[in-house]
Amino acid sequence: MNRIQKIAWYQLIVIIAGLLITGAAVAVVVHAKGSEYAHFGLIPLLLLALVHFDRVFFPLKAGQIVFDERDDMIRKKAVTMAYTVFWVAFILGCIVPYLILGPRSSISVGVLPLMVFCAAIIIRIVWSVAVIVQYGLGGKGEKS
Amino acid sequence: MNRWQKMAWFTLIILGVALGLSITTVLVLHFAAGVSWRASMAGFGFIGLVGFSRIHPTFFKKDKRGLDERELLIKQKAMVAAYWSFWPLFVLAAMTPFFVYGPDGVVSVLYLCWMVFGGMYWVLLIHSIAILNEYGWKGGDNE
Repeated sequence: MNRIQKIAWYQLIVIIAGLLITGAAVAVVVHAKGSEYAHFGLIPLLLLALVHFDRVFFPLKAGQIVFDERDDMIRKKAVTMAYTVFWVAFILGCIVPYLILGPRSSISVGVLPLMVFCAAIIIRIVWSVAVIVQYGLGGKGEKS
Repeated sequence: MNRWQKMAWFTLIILGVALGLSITTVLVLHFAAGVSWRASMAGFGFIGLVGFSRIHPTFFKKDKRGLDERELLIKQKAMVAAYWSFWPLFVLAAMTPFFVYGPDGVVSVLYLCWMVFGGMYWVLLIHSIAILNEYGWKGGDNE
């Protein structure tokens, strides 16, 4: 398994674990204290910041080739796929409230940062899955 | 000038005409006809002309040979450039109302539609500019 594959798996695991732990925490807090304390259950979302530590956990070794032409192509394809899915989600996220609520309605500004958060998660997940799928799920003889 | 350059120029011209007509109409409606600013914004209906930028395959037929490696790379680079440049704008557009109106504020759902149209306009603009930047702005050895 090469470095990019490891980073992709790492991101995917951190995001899924972060979301599951947060979901569980919210459920526990709501069950124990009531829905008015639900926001305390969101604290484990901070775990998602770990996705930015990929370079710390998977550093480039001295003399290691960063990526060859094939790696570059795979990365570019993954980025294209991630942004394509993000774009579709972005348009749906903007148009659906308009269609459901009608043109004279308003929404809370709190929804907008939530859109950014969801978009970032979508991009990371799709990028990771695209990298993993393109390299193959295993790690046969693909070291760099 | 190759097909991609022609399509990029075509898109840029459509984008320019749509924005130019929109702004001109808004200004004429407000200053010459005395219409209120809010009603004058109807002039932005001309942004709908941007839809014509997607009919370029009708005018510029596909080559039989398809895309070679370089063309594919340029196309991907342009797409990545367009989306990467859109991301900071998206974050800005989403966070500004939050900081301006506070966490209890509200915005019209029309704001979301403006985000979509603004985003589409920006992505098409940067995509076309990136293609022309990679191939060159004029015709040359890219036939």
